[in-house]
Amino acid sequence: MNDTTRIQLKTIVERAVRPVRASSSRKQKMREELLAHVSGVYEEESAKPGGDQAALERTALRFGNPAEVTNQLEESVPVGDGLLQFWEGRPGESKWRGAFRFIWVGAAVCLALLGIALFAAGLVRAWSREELLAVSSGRDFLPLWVFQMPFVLAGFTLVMCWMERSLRGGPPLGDRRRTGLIRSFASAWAEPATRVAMTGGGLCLFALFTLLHISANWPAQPTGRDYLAMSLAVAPFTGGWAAASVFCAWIFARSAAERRWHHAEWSSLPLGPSL
Amino acid sequence: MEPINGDKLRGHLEAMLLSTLERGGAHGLEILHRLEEAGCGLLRLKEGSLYPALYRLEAADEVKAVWETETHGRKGARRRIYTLTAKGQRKLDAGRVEWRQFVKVLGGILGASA
Repeated sequence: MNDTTRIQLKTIVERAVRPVRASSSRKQKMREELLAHVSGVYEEESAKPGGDQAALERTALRFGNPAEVTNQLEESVPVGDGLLQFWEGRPGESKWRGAFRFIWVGAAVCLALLGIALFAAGLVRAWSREELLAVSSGRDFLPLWVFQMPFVLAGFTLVMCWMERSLRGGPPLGDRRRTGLIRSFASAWAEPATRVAMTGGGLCLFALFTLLHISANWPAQPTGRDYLAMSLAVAPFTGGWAAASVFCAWIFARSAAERRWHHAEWSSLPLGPSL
Repeated sequence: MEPINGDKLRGHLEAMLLSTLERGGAHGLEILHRLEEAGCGLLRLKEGSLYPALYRLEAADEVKAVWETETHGRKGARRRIYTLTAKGQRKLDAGRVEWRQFVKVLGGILGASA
């Protein structure tokens, strides 16, 4: 099968899938599976007499009316996919818009987790009056969640954007995604730009976490304590967090880069009239 | 005999898909071949309609799907292999009972018992 035929087969699929209101990842799965199907059908049809163009026409005919398939595909999308659509954003949206959405969704998830943790803590052992006052007045928790969390999320998001940018320049990720998380990570590490993003991002996060740790403990520091010594003491802890954050950022960056690459590949197909 | 097309199949497609998977896991095109074979070439299904039905069955946990590992030269396009789950098997059994009842009732009315 040559590239022209492959593009025509992709067009048959895309006529049905593009108008479907579903998350990018769901549409990606639909496209891949339907493309595999029409490729198989085309192989069957091209074995019959009549030439390649006739085989393509018969393939399109067997596939059915794209508008009908679109409706049926849309009906098969579960309600929960709406959340995924929101999380993934519009295909082809700007990097900054995506980063901003990631930050505020991340903050909302963190606050929800905090609420659940506080509620669970209250269930395990009833809050004392002092504890309740400390939490509700924000003396203990607000500084941590309101002042530190935005820095952590913003830092994480910037590192993620950096990594996504580095992945975008490399080869398509389609095959990497199938090799498993660790092997895929090793494969990404082999790319110089991604390696720089991972190392640089990790160091930035390490510095950020160390600064946040110092600032969080600032009023409690005994006079004359050496902050460098304190930073070194917490280095394994902040370093571990930075490494884990880099790995998580890479997972998000990988799927975002994959979605962008996939969108660029399929959205450029000229649909034109049906065969 | 006149071919049986999409309109006549509507409402029975999911049960038929479950039935084909009773013979073992298969990808979409193989499922179609099994349907055609079982229908003696009289089934005329628009092939794009097969996948929405499979997705619905998957969402209902009546079939399970896994991506195949090899693309067999299809340049990145993988197929998914569908298998029947225990829930799907129960649904199929229930569907068969309903179908027998349906045929019995309609056969009685039309004077053409199966």
